[in-house]
Amino acid sequence: MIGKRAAGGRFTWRARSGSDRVYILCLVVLAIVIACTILAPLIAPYNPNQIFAGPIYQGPSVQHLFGTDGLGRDIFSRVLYGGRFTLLGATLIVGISSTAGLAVATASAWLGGRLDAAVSRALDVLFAFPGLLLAILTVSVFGPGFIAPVLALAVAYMPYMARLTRSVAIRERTKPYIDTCIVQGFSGMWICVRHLVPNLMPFVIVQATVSFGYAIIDLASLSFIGLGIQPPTADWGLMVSDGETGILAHHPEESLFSGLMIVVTVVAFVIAGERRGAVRGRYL
Amino acid sequence: MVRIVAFRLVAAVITLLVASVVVYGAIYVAPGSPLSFLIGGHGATRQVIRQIEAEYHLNDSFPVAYVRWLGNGVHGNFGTSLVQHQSVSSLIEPRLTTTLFLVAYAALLIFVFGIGSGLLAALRPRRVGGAVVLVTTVAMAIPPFVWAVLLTTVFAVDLAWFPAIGNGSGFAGGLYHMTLPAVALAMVWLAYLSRITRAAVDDELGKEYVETARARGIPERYVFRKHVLRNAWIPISTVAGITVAGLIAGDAVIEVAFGLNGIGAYLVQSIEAKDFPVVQAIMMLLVGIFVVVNTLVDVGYAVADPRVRTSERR
Repeated sequence: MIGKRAAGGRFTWRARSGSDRVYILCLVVLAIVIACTILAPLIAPYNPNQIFAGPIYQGPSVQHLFGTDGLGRDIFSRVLYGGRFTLLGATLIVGISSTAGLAVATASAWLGGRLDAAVSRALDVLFAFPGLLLAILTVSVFGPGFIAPVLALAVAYMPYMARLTRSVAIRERTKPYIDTCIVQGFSGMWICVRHLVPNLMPFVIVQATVSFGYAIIDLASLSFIGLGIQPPTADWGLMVSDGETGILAHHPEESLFSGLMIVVTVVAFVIAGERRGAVRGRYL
Repeated sequence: MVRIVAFRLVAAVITLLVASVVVYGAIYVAPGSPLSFLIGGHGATRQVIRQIEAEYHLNDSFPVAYVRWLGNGVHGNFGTSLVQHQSVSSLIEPRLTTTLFLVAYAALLIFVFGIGSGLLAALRPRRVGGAVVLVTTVAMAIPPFVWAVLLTTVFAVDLAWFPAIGNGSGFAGGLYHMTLPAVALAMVWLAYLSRITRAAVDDELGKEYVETARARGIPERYVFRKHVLRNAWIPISTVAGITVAGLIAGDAVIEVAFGLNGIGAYLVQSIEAKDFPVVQAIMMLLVGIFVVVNTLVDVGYAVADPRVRTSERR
């Protein structure tokens, strides 16, 4: 195990097994990706929207690390900027859905009885609606862009988060320390906020991390089919789609590099999330 | 047992009703009045306005209009396209065949290779198993549209083994054109099913009754077929059911990626063309299929596993 309490209470950073090394690798990768996205204006060699920064459809070279696309824009700069909406969107989706899911799950588990049963049934109904379709419907009503898909996916992910959290919350609720609080006369609200929720947080974080990966995929898919981020903004999903004409012309750089970024980021999130859950033993 | 089936059916119907309210009510939620939303970018010509009024009855109250729309839908009348001025059902039908072909093809690949590789990995745990787990982990992480791009680059452009775009006509032509799309669509689920299969079979093989059976001298083949497979089948079939439902979501993306003429691609086109009657019809169709498949899986699960039936006494 890595991290705290590894060697008899002392704090150590040494990885003790292969899978620990993979975990650290994932964290490093994520740190790099996030840093690049945030620091894009400082790192990017070219303006991502500047057409004819170089000749079109160039392969990777010293001036253009990832080559250029069909309009001569530098792909490396576009890839750096391209993560912004995707990562921000995924953060919002996961943040909103986990918070709402946590609230619903805690209330439902705490109050129990008929409310809990009703909430379970309602969640089952919501569960049956595939997230991507809901997002597509929302876009058809409100138009493509950033806000509509993000909100729609947040709504779609909420039942999933709520369901997972609820089963954990129910288990926590039956523990003795909760009973002692009740006996001492503390209010339900206080117990939930001060004790229940903090003990649920590790689970929520694990679920949120894994969901982050899927949120990225869903957002990128929406941009890919043209219902998400619109051109000429640089966005990974959109670039994969834009790059298709390039592929047919034997210049797959735009699609491949942006696709690679998506895959690498998603893999890092999913492995990190699952690994953290497995290690901490708090994974359902 | 009957109670469970009835319960699931009721839940399915409720879900469908809720979904239909959402799909229909969308025009009221949209910015602007329902009429202006439906007119969209078509230009408020006499013909368009007359058509909208005839079909949507926007002067009626919401519940009345909704029930009428639902009634029409149940009878197969989905209204008229605002772009093509033809009945929506006539526009959807030919495209539905393409989509069903693609989904069936992908499902076949998923079941055959997913379960196959999972079994193989469980039976030969060392080398083959390790390789399969690694490959499936990577495969699962690559979203369908990235698979589409990868396969197109390698097999359609570089090697030119398969065409990059288009439907193909007839059965053989369809098979040829749809191979890459079907693989791209299937990949993630194939990998997932492979892992589930391997885990389930592996799990079963480690159980005590298997050891007992072997100790008693029962041939391995028999043990495997009669006991291990039967028990491992339960989680596998659950995932298999969910997979087919999940293919629906990925289908639209793949159709757009390969320029296929199916209902997924048509949905996207209709959204961009602001042809809302078509959007509503296709959405209901997709959600309907999704709910039906999920319900069948739930019921099948209850039928196959007696433990579920007894534990339902909550």
